Parts: sequence; structure tokens; C-alpha cells
Amino acid sequence: MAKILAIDTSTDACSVALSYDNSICDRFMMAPSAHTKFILPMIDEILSEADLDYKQLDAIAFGQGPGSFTGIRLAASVAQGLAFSSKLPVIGISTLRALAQEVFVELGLAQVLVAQDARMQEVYWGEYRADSFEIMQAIAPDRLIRPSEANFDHREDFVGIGSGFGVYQEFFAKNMVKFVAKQYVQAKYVVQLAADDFFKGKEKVVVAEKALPVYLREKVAWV
Amino acid sequence: MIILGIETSCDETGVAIYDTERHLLAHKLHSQIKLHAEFGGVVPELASRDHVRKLLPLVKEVLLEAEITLQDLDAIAYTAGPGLVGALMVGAAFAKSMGLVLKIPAIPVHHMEAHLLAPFLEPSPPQFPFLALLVSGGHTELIEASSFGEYKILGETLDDAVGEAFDKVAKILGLPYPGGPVLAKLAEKGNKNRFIFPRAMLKRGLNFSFSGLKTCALQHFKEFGNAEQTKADIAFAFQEAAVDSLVIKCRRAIKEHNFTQLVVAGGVSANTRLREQLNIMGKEAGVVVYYPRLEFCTDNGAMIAYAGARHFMAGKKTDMEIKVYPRWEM
Ligand SMILES: Nc1ncnc2c1ncn2[C@@H]1O[C@H](COP(=O)(O)OP(=O)(O)OP(=O)(O)O)[C@@H](O)[C@H]1O
Ligand SMILES: [Mg+2]
Repeated sequence: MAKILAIDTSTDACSVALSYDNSICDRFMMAPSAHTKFILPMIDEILSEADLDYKQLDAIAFGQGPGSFTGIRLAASVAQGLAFSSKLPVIGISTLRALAQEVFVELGLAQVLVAQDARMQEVYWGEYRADSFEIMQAIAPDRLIRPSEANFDHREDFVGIGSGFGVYQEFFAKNMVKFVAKQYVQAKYVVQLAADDFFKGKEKVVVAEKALPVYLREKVAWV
Repeated sequence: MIILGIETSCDETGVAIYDTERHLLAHKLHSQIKLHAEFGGVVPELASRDHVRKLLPLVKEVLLEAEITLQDLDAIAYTAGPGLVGALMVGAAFAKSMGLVLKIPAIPVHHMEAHLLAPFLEPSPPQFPFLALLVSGGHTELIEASSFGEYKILGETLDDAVGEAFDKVAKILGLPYPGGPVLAKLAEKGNKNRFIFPRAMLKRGLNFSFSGLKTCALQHFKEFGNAEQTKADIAFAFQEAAVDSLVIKCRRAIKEHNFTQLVVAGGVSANTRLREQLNIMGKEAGVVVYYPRLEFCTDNGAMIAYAGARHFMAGKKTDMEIKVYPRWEM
């Protein structure tokens, strides 16, 4: 397995993970408004415990969004700073995909709809299915939608995950049988997905300055 | 000692490399003016989004221009405040992460201290102690700078900053954003004898007030219409009154505290009329007046690198927390 350091600060949780020697170790904590305090010490700690230096890694991965604007920008800036100074490539991983991977690994659910609350009556929406290597892959692009715009055709067997299902429970209950009440993205799933992207050498493995957040919400200012 | 400086506190991404022996090696600036123009002011979320896109490409450019590699860096300095929290965070997170990998300190710099030190980047710099007049978009302060790191505010604005007043009056006159420099240009065409605006708080003290001046400009604009010449006349009268207030308070502070040097910095220190008047006052009062070069009056990475270098040499300690201080007293 490639040596990859992954970080995620897209939700109120703060986490880092490291893949090496066919194993994954991670650190996870709830840190509302305190990511800036913990993220670098957590990174430093996980690397020193594995007795690895940045230069020995193969790539840096980060939860690139959607999520809290400040959070995904923090992760992108940290990923850029680490990767640029250690001359490593970066892999940005969808936070929705990381949530999908979590329910697959933990609950064996292979077909997942992700809805994270985006406020303003909208959700960040993702549709995922596990491939034969047990890695979640998008079957439609992540997007920002109103719950009423979600399409449930051919999605009868899917299970939901994400804060959006709780917030718009009444609406989603009409369309779906069940959802899993999880919403905190974990770096250990980011790192799994990044290892897959790295192995495939996807165009997702980029130089540091291309490590940019994916906000999905583009309109943030009004004249 | 070689220091990388990073500025992302507001709407400019500035990066520079300063060498304590060879001085400024390279600097680059990306301005977001176009990005915010249609909104008539800085939109914080848009500013942050732009910083994260532009910062690293600029860092690469300055390293190339300075002909150094990452291993040559002894420290990184970044603006930690005051400023927009999201914008500050981009520079802070990037700088701290670089510092972690390169095992060098990432030093938080006070944006206003950096403005104040900007004239030290010039060939014949001032020497402590001196009086500083900080005039920018967010600040208007008279500061007693006794030594590096030791600053006392002698006077400050009680309402708008002078740069803010320039921008607001420009907006009233319908000038393009950001209006300060445009208004100054228009003032050159103004009729000197048409309007005279009041100077606020002249009698006593070292504090400033500019909001009355702004209101006065608005009233004149409403009453006398928006003919091109009238607008120029209002611009002239406004600038004269604003500059006068600044000069009068400087002269008073110099008299009261026996300063021999005056350092003027911040965006408004680029103003030609202000420089003219301060130079005249300086001659009369027997003080030498120092300014940054024009491009270092407004936000830039060079002043951050320089301020960081001084802190580094003073032995400032750093840790791994990504610290920003959106509001930070100097
Ligand atoms: N020639 C000029 N005449 C008058 N004002 C000017 C001139 N050039 C720039 N300014 C003003 O300077 C300000 C910008 O300066 P600067 O970049 O130092 O401020 P800021 O960074 O926004 O605020 P602060 O440094 O207080 O956080 C603006 O208000 C602008 O209108
Ligand atoms: Mg400034």
C-alpha cells in the first residue's frame, strides 16, 4: 500500500490518517472551531509514531469538500504547504465519498446516497456504489441540490447517510426506507480512497497548487 | 538569514523573500480588486477563495526570481492579523505546514507593525525611536515607536479610518472601486477656492475623526450636483481637509514629544498631497519624514518578510498551532 498521509477538517471533527505497510492508523477527535489548534500536532504525532518523515511518503490526501468552507480551505492550505515543501503530489477526496466508504466498511452497505446539510434549504448530494475492490465510486457527480430535486429512480435499494437526512427527515422519509445518522468525515476513509486513486494513477493525483477545495456552492455574494 | 513573507489578510495576496544580508530578493503581488469590484467592497468568502488559488503559484515565482530553493529558507513569516479571519487562515495554515516540513519557524506577524516597518526596506531607513503615522483602509494611528516591538498609540481615529473615508467619499462621487487613489487623482482637477470643508477636532489632542468630513462631502454632492467639475471640487476640498487634519496632529505630536523622525506608512501614505504637506511640515519642524516606496504603501509580502526577519532575529518562539488574530491590538 502506498504511504499516504490524509487529513480532514470538513466537519466539526478533525482527523488524520496514515497508510503504510498494509495498515492504516488514524487520529480522530471532535474539534468544533479548533481544527487550527490540533491539526498540525496530530499530523506530527502520527508520522513520528510511524517513524516516517514527510519525504518518505508517496502523497498527501485531504478531504476536499463539500463541507464547511473554512474547514475545506484549511485542509487544502495544509495539504498544499505539506506537499509543496516535501515535493509530494496531492490527492483531493470527496468528503461525500469518504462518508459512503465509511458505511460500506462499517456496515457493508454497497449502495449509498449521501446528503450533507448545506443550509439554505439545500444539501450536498452524492450517489455511490462499491466496486469489486470494495472501494466506493461515484455513479453521479457530487452536487448541491434542494432535497426535492433528489432523484430516487433506480435507487430503491440504496441507503442514506449524512446530516441532510436528519435535517430533511420528513421529506426523505417519503422516498427512502432508511438512513444512517453519521455526518463526521474521517481521514481513515479518505486515506483508503486516496490509496485507490493513487494506485490507479488517476488524474486526481495532482501537483500541490492544484489541491483546491470543492465548495459546490459557487454563489456566495450578491450585488 | 533568508525569510519567506506571506500576506493574505485582506484582498491582496503578497509574497516576498527577504535576506538580512542582501535585502529584498523578490516580491510578487496579486490584487483581487477586479474580483470585488462589482460588489463595491471586499467579499470575505471570495477573498479567501482567491488566496488559496493564488498563494502557492506566487511562492513558486518568488523562489525562482530570488534564485533560491526551499532549503535556503531560515524562516517563514505570515500575517496573523488583524484582518479577515478566513483570508488570514489561508496564509497561516500554508506557512505553518511548510514550517513543519522544513523544520523552520513560521512566525506570526502583526499586519500594522509590518506596515510601520515598510520604510526600513528603503536605502536610507529611519532609526528608532520615531513617530509613526499609520494611515490605511482600516487604521489611522499616531504611534510612538520607542524601539523594535515597543509601540504606544498616541492618537487614533474615533470613527472612520482615513483610507475608508477616501473610499466612501469616492463611492458617493460615483468613482470606481476602490476609490481612494481615483479620488486623489480627481482632486488634482479641483478648483481650490470653491469649497472649504471643516477640519475636525483641531483644538486639542491627537485623535482623529473623519466621518463628519464624509457627511460634508455627501451634503455638497446632493446640493451642488454631479457635474464633473463639481465632483473634482468636492474631491479637492475633501482631500485638503483630510490631509490637513493628519498634518496638524503630526505636528502636534512632534512638538509634544520632541521626535526627530516621522515614519508614514499604510495605503494612504501613497497620497501625493499628503506627502507634499508632510514634507513641508517636516522641514518646518525639523524632522525627517520617511515613506515606503509607493508599491509598499498598500498591502504586500515584502513588509511581512521584513517584519518576520526582525522577529526571527529577536528570537521569537513558535509552536504548531495555526494562529490567526482577526482583531489584534498592536
Ligand atoms: N493615493 C491614495 N490616496 C488616498 N488613499 C489611498 C491612496 N492609495 C491608496 N489609498 C487608500 O489606502 C487604503 C488601502 O491601504 P491598505 O492596503 O494599507 O489598507 P488595508 O490593508 O485595507 O487596511 P489595514 O492595513 O488597516 O488593514 C484604501 O482605503 C485606499 O483607498
Ligand atoms: Mg494594510
